[in-house]
Amino acid sequence: MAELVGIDLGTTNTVIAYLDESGDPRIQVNAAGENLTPSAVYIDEQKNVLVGTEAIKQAEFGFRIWTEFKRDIGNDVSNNEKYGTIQQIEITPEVLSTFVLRKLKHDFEMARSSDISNTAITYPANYADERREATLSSGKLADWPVGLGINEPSAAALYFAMKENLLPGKYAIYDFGGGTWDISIIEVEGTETTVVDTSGIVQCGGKDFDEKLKDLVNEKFMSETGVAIEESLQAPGIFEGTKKSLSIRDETNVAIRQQNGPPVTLSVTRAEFESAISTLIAQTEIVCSSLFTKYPDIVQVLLVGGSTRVPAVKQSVEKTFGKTPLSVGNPDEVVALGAAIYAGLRAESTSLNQAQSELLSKVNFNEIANHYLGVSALQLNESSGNFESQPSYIINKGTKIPCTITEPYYTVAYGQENVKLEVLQASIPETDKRFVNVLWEGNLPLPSGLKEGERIDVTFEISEDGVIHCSFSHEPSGRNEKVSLSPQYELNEAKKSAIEAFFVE
Amino acid sequence: MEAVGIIIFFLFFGSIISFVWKVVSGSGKAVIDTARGQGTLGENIGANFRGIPETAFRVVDDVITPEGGDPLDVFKFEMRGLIPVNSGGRGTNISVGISLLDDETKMPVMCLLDDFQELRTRFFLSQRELGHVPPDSGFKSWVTLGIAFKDTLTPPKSGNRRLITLFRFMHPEAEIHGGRLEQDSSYLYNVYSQSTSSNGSPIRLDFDGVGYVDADENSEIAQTLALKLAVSLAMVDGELHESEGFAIKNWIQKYVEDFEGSRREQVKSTMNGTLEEAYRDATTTGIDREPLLLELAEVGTKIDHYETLELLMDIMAADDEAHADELAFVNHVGSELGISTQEIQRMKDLRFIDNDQMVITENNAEQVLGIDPDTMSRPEICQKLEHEFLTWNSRIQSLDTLEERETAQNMLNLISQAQIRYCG
Repeated sequence: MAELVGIDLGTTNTVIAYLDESGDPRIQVNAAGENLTPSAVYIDEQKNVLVGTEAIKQAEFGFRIWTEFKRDIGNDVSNNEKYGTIQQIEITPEVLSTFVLRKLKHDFEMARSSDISNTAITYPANYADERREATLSSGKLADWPVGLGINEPSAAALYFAMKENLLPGKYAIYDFGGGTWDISIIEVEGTETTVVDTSGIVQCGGKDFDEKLKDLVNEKFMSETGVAIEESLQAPGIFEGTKKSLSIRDETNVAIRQQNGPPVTLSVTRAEFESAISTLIAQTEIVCSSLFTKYPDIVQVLLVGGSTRVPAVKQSVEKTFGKTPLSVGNPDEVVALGAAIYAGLRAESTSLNQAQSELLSKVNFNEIANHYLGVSALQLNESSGNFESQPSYIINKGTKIPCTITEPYYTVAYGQENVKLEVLQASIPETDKRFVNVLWEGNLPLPSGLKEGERIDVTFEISEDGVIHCSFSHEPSGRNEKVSLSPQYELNEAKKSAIEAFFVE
Repeated sequence: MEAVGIIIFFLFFGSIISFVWKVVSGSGKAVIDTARGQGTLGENIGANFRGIPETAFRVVDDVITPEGGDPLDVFKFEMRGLIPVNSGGRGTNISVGISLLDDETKMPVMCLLDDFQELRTRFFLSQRELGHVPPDSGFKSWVTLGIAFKDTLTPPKSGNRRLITLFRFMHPEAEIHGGRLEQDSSYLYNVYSQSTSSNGSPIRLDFDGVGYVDADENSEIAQTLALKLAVSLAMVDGELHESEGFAIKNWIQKYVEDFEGSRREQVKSTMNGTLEEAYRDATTTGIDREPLLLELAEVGTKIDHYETLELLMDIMAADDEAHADELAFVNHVGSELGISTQEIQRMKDLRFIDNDQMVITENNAEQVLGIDPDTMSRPEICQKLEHEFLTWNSRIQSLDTLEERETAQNMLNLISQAQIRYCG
């Protein structure tokens, strides 16, 4: 049978999982035998690309490597010094992600098969559409047959629903990864698992803990030596290692190399570390308490992601939800395992064997709209007394998908021959157009000579596969405009051939 | 016409307007049928002898009730008798336009509804075509030529106003602009004025809002008050920085440009005089802001209040430093002028995003975030922080540039510090 694969493209590590013959999700190790492949890339002058632990080794020799690029995926990085070009080829977060996924595709084919029928890639719940698209595009550029994307906590929820036989009730899936923090509230009822709410913070993860720890150690180092830490001299991952150490002991030492003289050994306590990361934890607490106010009947909090190993994180969850959270399975792997289940659920039935079909039939997974979707319309600003073009939402965040909603709008001007159309997206019902994403812009031409107040019916639909379909129609004239906003944009051939110029080892 | 968007508020007014057309079209049909005459010339001449009375106009105070709606006070403009003009040798159709003037100032009355406005202004005009009018046509009894909804009318001055109604019989292409005929007199065939109501008393409109001339005068006062507040805010550190002066100058220019000719010079002189006076006061005795603010709240319109806050926001942001006391003052002004805290916050946030040089630190965090530990309870502060966090956490996803996203991240950090301080 063809393979069904789930990919957790993480800020720190990338994990690949597949559904075995019995329908159970399993982790696929890379060529070096590792479950987790560091999301790190090194490129030499001959355009040879090293990925994962091999790339990190290059950093030990003082070479430049790229890490944490997932944090910028889908963003405009043209002014970001971290990226730039190599031999006229633009190095973007999307390109770097493609290198990681291409290497892992190669490893997967070597270990199992090149016959892959469906792949699901995960992304943070709070990512806007363009960042989701960029993530999926990286998978496609790396030649994975990417069918769908799924929110990271939703993937974890699927894993728990299938493997942990959750009792009926509402659960919070608390996912603290390397770069982002996400939370989903799911409701389990028999075989139905329904996502009822999601939220997240895009700049809040284990890497931010490392940064805070670095600042703390730097402060100590400066008071001891009078100079700042020279980062290029330090062992890669030194602060990550110190953080891990402080997760299991109250105090640890860290040796800081200096240009002249022996390394300086500094002591760091867990209390100091916890104070340094308190603002990050506070951010997650704000979101959690807002969700807990909405859903006071949450029966359990399930932990996902490597950062949940930090004791202060567990304490924060316990404080906010009033319950001891549960760690089930390996928190670094459950997202990829859930994504493999999702790939199976959304695959053609002919891609599944009987055992897989039977196991997957026990899970019905229902998702919700992750954002508010709407159009811009002239509306009265009560404060200024002016009519302003503001977002008008048609589909609310949290609406169960698939869904179809139609709202009437009216033209504003006598003789208006054109209606400007915009499809907008936001995580909250933002009233200022400046702060929403414009997914699409277009026009609806109208016949001449119409009075103002002509009705335009606007229909938004989110299909089961997550594609947004919009239609704008003026019934009397039969004029209409339709657009489908697929979450996977077309592969850019130029980009693909640029990537082909590199040799991923 | 270029599209300006799509709108959702039309339903209410739409139903009223369609009702009006229903009311008037009944009589309108009567106008056309009768005016065009029936049968032969002899029969029409004979009409004079069948009792068509002398030409007369009247304005009736009435109440009409749209289907399913509330009763509405209206003026009904009516006519009976011989139509005082006819198409005759002109060979053109005839149109009748009804305008309302304020008796004291002789200035036209404004109307809120598009369908009852002059082509290019907001002044009231009810215009309709009578079609081809043969000689000696007329109405035996009173017919309604037009309607005005009293609640939609704004006279030039406030209070109980005497009005004059003008009935103009004119060429269909004649245009009434500002209450006057735009073309030469050959387009006007006849005009009648009516200053009394059907019961013989003057036509009166009891207007409890602010007349547009009064509003204009009040607006000028409001602008001078806004200017003084702006100078006092700019001078909070003892000097008027170039960027702050530039923001004030820009604002004055924009306001002055709304006027023409000698009025523009007069307004310009008033604004410059106010600026000098405010600067002198700020550098000597200081400006007492509270009385200014109270007066502004009293005389200014919603738009004046909003524009004042916009000006103060620009002054606050002009020197790249959002001083805590500047922010506190801006918050205070917004609140005193009745602008919602949500809107005040939005206006501030736009300045922070547009100016990535703006210094935002723990020192001005409370004012930036709109929290006041002296007047707000802990739960209120925590609720506000939660709202601000969710807002910025969403915005960080939609902002275009790295600088804007860094500003958003800075705000998130600031909120989490405040969260620890107040809600930890």
